[in-house]
Amino acid sequence: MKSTRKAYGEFLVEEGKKDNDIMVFDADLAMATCTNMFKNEYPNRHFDIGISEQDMIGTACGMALSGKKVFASTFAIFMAGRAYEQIRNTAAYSHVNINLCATHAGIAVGEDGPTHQCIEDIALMNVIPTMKVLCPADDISTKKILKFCLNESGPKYIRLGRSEVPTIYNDESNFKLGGSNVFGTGTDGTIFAVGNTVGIALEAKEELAKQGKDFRVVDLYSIKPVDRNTIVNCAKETDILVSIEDHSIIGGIGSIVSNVLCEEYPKKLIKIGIEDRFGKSGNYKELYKLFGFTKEHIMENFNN
Amino acid sequence: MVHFGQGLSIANGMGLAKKISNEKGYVYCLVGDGEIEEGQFYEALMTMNKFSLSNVILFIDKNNLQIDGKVEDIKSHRNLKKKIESFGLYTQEINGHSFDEIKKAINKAKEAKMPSCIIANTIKGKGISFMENEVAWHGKSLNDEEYKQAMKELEENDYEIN
Repeated sequence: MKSTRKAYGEFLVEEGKKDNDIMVFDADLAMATCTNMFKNEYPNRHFDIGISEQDMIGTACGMALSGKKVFASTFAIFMAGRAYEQIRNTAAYSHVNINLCATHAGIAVGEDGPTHQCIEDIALMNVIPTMKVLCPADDISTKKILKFCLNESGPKYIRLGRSEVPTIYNDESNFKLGGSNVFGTGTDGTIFAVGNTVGIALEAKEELAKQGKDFRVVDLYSIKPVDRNTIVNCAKETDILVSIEDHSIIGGIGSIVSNVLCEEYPKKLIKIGIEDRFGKSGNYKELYKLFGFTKEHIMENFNN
Repeated sequence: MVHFGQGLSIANGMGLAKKISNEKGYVYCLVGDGEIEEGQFYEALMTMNKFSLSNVILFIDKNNLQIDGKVEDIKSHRNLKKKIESFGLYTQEINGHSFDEIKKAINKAKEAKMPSCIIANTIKGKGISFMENEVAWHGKSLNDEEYKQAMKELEENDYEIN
């Protein structure tokens, strides 16, 4: 069990050791985003811009335009929310090579409540022209995804979480831009998941197997570009389609999968996510129960 | 490339990159007195100060016009020089139409060895009678006739560039 933000901190330290051009920006949340792990090792290459996210994005872009390999971090709400136009007009429009690593995405933030729970960032970032959007499901995929981001040009948004999640991958697992990972070959149904919900979907898959139902789980870690072929193949090969995400169902992976289906292989999709409402303050596990991010809730949908 | 209110942050990032790589040279950033109503500009002034970015030279083109009218009517800066100075910048105020004053101010800014700002007082549309200080020309282009008239006036006035 490890949070993806912690894996991000470890990645920065590992890569920072090999490469002096790696620069890290934060906005007074270095402890929470885990960039303080890098700061402790390489204080001269860590820049805390203070509580000013818009300025942080601009400054980080200036550094990136000077040829450095830049990672900028804050909570998803202050990145995709507060600094939206800076990301759009400064980072994306100018095709800046920058890694926007947003932590504390979704209601999994927990006690900090709705003001800090970004449930719109996938939608906000996905719609920006040329932006690449990625969301790892565990510690291993976090490091592998960040690794290929280092070699991808342009702006990238990487959605990370606060809470600890189970490790589901191993050292042999592969990740690429525009890719996805499919668990199982079941034909009874497909569960599309991303980030925190991949682990939950895998639990549901096991439970369903006990009932004699063979499902597959698709980790859509590359949200944009999305793996259209896999989505279409799953629609062709399996009976029931469900998506589950710790994000608004408006503009999240459910919407993205729907778009692909609508264009290429029309089929019903059951979307589990946050309805048109805000999150709530509370323990993350309890919130996940309340909002239906549990294997039991997934199974209800299948059984109905 | 850069959208309003966002320029100084980027210049600071470039200045920081130079500093960390021990590279010589300066980053020049030009902003208008209208766009600096944006909060990000003041965040960037604090960043400039925090990292002692003496290799960034900020110019404020102060023509007192923005889309809706005069800056002093929309959201006055009151004493702009004093305000910028309070962020810890070495601040000079000059005639922005004098190349000589610009040159001297840049030299002084470099000598100051601290984050610096040059407030350049200007007249928007200077040298063209129908444009000078007219807010309507903030974001409009010339038609053929206006273009001919404007060029004629600039030539007749032998518009001084010293």
